Amino acid sequence: MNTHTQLSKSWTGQFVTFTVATVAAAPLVSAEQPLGSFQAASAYEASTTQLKGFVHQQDEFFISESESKDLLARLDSDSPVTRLPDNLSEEAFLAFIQS
Amino acid sequence: MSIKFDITDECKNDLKADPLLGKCLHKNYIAPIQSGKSVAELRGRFKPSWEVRVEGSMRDLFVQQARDRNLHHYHIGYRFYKSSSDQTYPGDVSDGIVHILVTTNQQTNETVHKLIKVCPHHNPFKLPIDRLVG
Repeated sequence: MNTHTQLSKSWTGQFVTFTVATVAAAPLVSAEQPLGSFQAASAYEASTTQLKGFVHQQDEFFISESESKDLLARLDSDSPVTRLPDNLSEEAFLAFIQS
Repeated sequence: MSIKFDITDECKNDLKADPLLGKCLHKNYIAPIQSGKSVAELRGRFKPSWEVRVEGSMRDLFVQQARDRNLHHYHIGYRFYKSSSDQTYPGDVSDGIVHILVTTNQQTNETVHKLIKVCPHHNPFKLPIDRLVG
């Protein structure tokens, strides 16, 4: 089944609206993804968050300069470390985070 | 080989930004591994961080350090998973990422995943608009 994706943009004042349209049977996103409007033969005007989800499918991840600097700092950080217990439940983990 | 989890206070603080981060991290990473799954069996992509594109002046240092320290990252499914076409490192991807230092003690046959950072948004939002829109 062919999947054809169309993107267009339009400017209104200082805002730009991206419209994504797919014309195919196969959805572009997984079932868990709450962007149901990506389903076949549908279109939607993407908010920043929605469009980000779409663009990530098209583009490879990368680490930005600021993120790389932060990660390098954390590699040698003396931040205290906690060993998580085995068979840790979600409730216990969430409680630990907030402790 | 058993895998133990260590978490830094810095990483713990990252998780306080949104309870869903902790839920995704536990559901898609900690719990499956503690139940006996290998990283290759996880839903998200687990990938060496020195094989990721790095932008900026810190690139060479970061790649060297990531390789020397065995830094990996895992897509935790925050807030949802998307499919990926990466053939070398399969697994679904998400905005939420956990950065992990992986160490293995050959004598005890124990591997430790030290969680050092959680990011709700892996990348700054950049639109490859010239490529997407002709």
